[in-house]
Amino acid sequence: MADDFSQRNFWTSRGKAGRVSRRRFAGGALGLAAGGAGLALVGCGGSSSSSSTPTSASGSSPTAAQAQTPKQGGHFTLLMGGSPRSLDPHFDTFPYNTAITDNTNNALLQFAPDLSSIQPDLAVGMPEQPDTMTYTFKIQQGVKFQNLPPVNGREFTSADAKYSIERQMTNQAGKFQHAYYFLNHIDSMTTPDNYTLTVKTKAPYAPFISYIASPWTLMICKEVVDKYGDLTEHAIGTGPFILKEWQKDVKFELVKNPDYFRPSLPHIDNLTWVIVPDPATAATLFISKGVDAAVLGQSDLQRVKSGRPDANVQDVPSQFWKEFRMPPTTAAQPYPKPFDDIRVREAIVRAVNKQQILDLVYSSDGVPTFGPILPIYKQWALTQELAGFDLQKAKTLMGQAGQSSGFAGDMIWASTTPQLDQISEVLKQQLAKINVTLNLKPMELAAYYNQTYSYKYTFSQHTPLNSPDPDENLSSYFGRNATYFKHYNTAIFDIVDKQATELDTAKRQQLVQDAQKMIVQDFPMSFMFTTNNHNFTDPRVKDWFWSTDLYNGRVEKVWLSS
Amino acid sequence: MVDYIVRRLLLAIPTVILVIFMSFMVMRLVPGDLVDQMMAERPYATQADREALRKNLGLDRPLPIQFVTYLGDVARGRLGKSPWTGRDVSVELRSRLPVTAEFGTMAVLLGLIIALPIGVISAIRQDTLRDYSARSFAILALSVPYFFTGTLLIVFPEKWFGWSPPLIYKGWSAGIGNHLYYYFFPALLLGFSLAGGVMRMTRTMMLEVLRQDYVRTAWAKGLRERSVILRHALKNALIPVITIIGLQVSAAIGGTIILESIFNMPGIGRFLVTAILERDYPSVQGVVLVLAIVVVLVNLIVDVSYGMLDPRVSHA
Repeated sequence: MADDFSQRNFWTSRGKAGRVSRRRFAGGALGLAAGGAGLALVGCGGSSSSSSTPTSASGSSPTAAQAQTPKQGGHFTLLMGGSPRSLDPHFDTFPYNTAITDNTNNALLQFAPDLSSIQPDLAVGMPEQPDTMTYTFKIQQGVKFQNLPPVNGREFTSADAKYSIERQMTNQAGKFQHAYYFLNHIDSMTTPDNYTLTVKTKAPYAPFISYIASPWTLMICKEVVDKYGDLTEHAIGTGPFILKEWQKDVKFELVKNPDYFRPSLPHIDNLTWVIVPDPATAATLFISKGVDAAVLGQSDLQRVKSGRPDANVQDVPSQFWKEFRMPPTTAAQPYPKPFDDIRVREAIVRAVNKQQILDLVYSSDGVPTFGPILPIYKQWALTQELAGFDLQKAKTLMGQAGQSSGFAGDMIWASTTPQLDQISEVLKQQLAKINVTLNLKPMELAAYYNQTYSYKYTFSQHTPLNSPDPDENLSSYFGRNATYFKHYNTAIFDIVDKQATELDTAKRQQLVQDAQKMIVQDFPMSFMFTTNNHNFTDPRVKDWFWSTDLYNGRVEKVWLSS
Repeated sequence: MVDYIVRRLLLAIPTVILVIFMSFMVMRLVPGDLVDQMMAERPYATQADREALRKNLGLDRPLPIQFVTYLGDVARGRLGKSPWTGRDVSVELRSRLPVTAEFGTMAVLLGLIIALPIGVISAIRQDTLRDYSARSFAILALSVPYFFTGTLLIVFPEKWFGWSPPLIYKGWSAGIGNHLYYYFFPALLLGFSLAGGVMRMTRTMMLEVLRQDYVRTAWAKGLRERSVILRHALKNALIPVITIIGLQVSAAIGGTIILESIFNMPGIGRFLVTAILERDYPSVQGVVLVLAIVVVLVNLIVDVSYGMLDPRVSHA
């Protein structure tokens, strides 16, 4: 069946035409630099490099590795920055979960490690789209669940895919945290045969493909859920590795799945994730060769580089980034004075010198952002600064708004790392230049959440997560039903809604760009920057590819040269 | 003696209930709410979602009813389930408590091994170089925090000698040698920190006891120094020292919380930190309850030991 719409959909067309070689980029996400939504724990480095391109400290580049024949066997040990709450991919939101479950389970589709495209996983190819609301997935035949009770190696079918998606969209607050992907969007799912799944959406739904490829939309087994109630302790899927042992707060031991549907994969026999929350301890473990790979933070960056000059290091912009927010607004809660004057908001945004903060706090180790979508998503992000640092203009605007003498306001943030405290100090100094006094109010994380989700504050420094699909970064912050932030602007609501229903790539890209411009130029906040994660690997680790914080934790193509 | 122990245990019940009440209330009164935390990870959550979750977690009921319900559960041995993981708190504690207990015990023992001899030598060689050195050692132990020495131990030996202490937990299944080797360094750090207070108290009490008439008599009888010091003086100097040791169990529990994170121990310290940050009420309450019981029992043991060390102390 012709799939005109799939050719026009960004994710689909990229998946077909511009697929990134998994062989070249195979590797696991040590994208475990974050402890949860909005909280980066490690991975904010202090390297002088601010490149988003992986760099290598040794001669063992990914390209060189590509030319070699992968060696089978070996034991690969990685660091994990914290413990997952559970192994149920439909419950958790921590990347520690997907680090494991992305290796024990597959999805229908999968993001390429650089997040630039989507490619098939259990699906034979990208879905056919006969119309704007229908997606037909052809599923690979002969794929088996792992040979463990209660599923005992039975074949994966379209019924499992249907069950997995249905379970994920269970409307139970506090448990199925990703239900919003599909809840109220999917109209029906049918399985004409064991290898075909047809999904009909209620309306054109542009993020659908990327949500299907999300690491939280993994294919699971109903028998396991029926037996154990949920998947909190049991990760059994079709994936390349079988979970052998989970020693809470210590490590995960996985072994090769001999029945994996991709021939000759995975290359390694044993995979161990060692749970090490303390960055200094993590650095020492890598230096002492206790682990083969690690994501390390700024405080230990130079120590690791000098202690392990042989190691490969990749500097990767994090999906967790920094915002400097002004008061949230709703229909019933308009901007308080003087923020109701857009010139004041613009002045504040223009008084923020992002690069200076990056230089002072992170030794220039990061990338400034121009809007609500990070530059790592090149296809969606704004490419030029629309509200950049301009102190003179900021002062002029304050004068025009009758605020030359300035005003004072409290600024809250979750004081979870020294760097976040330092950012606040620098912001205070920067805004003092336009006579805006920030009263710094550092808060404990839970107290901060309580305050920030009451939407009552003057200034806030926030560290949200940026996702590959633009809708997640627009609707949940600036849409009409947004909960991560509130900014009342009906014109923005309309365009954000529109991009979510536009399946044509070019048109959607334009809408996303326009939406971002409208948001940026309404000055609800300063979109500041993202910092780099630093992924270190032992030289014997081959076909490792950087990945970002949450996506693509599979290490099936990694191999060890010795 | 049995009557005394029973009486003390009965008296401990209101103490434990008070601790449960305090941990229960404090978790609910501090800024930051469990429902807010859980909803923060779910975009587009509505007020109805919040209320449904609050009801599902039983947090919509009045606090007194929540407390009485929890107290009833505790009396039945049920500590509740973590709202985040769905796991039984008692199951979590069963796997983690032995780790912390072993660590804390080893730290206290190592602290005593360090402190008692030094305290005694410092007293019997008062105002000598050894005494001054020992007192300096005690001040150092008291003033340098263990999280600092812990970080030093992690970073510098590796940098200078290419050696680092074991940083990946080794259970008993890894062999007794590996297991004890893993515990040794964090326990030594914590023990060192605890040793300062014990050493100073030992010295002070020994100096006092050594001036007593019965010690002078022992010297006059021509007893050997070892006999005078260990049998006559030290035993009588130990009562306040044991009181300090009892108090240090609480300090050791505090120390485990930090050192468990640095040395990657799967104990209750790390569990407690995560639970507090996530406002995991049942987990925090469960840990605090267990720790309170441990402190109560240790203090009971301390009190009972007084009678064993000094027959003049009666528990009748």
